Amino acid sequence: MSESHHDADLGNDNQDFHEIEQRIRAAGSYVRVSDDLRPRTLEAARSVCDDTLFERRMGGFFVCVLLMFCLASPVVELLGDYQSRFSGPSSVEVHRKAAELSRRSDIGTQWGMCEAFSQLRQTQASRFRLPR
Amino acid sequence: MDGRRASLGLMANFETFSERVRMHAQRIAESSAPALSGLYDLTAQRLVRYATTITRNQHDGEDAVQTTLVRVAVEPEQLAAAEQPWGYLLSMVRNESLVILRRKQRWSLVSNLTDLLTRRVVDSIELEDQHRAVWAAMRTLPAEQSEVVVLKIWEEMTFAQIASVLEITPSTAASRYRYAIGKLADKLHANDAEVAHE
Repeated sequence: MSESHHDADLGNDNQDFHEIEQRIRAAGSYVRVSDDLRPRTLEAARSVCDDTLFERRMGGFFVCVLLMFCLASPVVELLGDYQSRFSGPSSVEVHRKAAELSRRSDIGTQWGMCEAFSQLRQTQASRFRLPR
Repeated sequence: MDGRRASLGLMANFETFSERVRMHAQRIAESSAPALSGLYDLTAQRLVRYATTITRNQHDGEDAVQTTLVRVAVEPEQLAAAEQPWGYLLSMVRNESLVILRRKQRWSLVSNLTDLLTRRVVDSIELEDQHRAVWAAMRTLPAEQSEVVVLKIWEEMTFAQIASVLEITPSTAASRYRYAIGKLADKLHANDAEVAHE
């Protein structure tokens, strides 16, 4: 008698449990999403994605600039070195040097010019000599 | 036997839905933010329902869903690569909801339903009252219990799947569920008695 009563209680409990689940399930579709959530979310996502894309592009640009600077600086240095090797004194300087040599050594202007050119050639030769 | 079959059916539903979420995540990865609308249409209603249950406020729940979906739009690869994308997305929404809940501490608004945007139930005020009673009762539960109820009944997940989302054991999920349903039954019966008395 008591066993059947216990079974009946369990049955009622299960039925009650099931009924509560049904009521909760039915209430699941009661709440709806705000109308503005969709445009708000899509706009926010677009904005954030655009910002992220811009940041990535800027990052890439700065990396490229840095890379170019790193590559360009030794080239510029090398070019500067070559420029100093190829550049010589101007004609005014050569004339001034020739006048100074002819006055100091008491030789003619033409020999002074010759001596000045000889010295210039020696200087250039020493510049072009390969370092050991 | 029927229970096992039902459980297999639920697992299949969960996995099918997960694959649809993965497909949308892959589309977002291919074409960026514009493809988010597909994922939104597929999941927003369910995510808002879950987030609202945790935060106990629909506006906060919607904020949590918005933040999560924006995060997915920025890094869709993580969602696409997840073992169970739907479970992963629910976890993301849960984390955002908990952050908002901790920040706002709206415990004083537990029984207030004024924030809810609801569907008008045609020709049935009684049914609407029942739904409101369910939502009000759900809000009186601790978040850890109400979320199990949401995942079990509204998301039709198994205890193993719930356990993986909430990072608890299946037996803990089951006991929380039983405890929550017991409390809800008491509250709903009390509400029924009150209505009958009126």
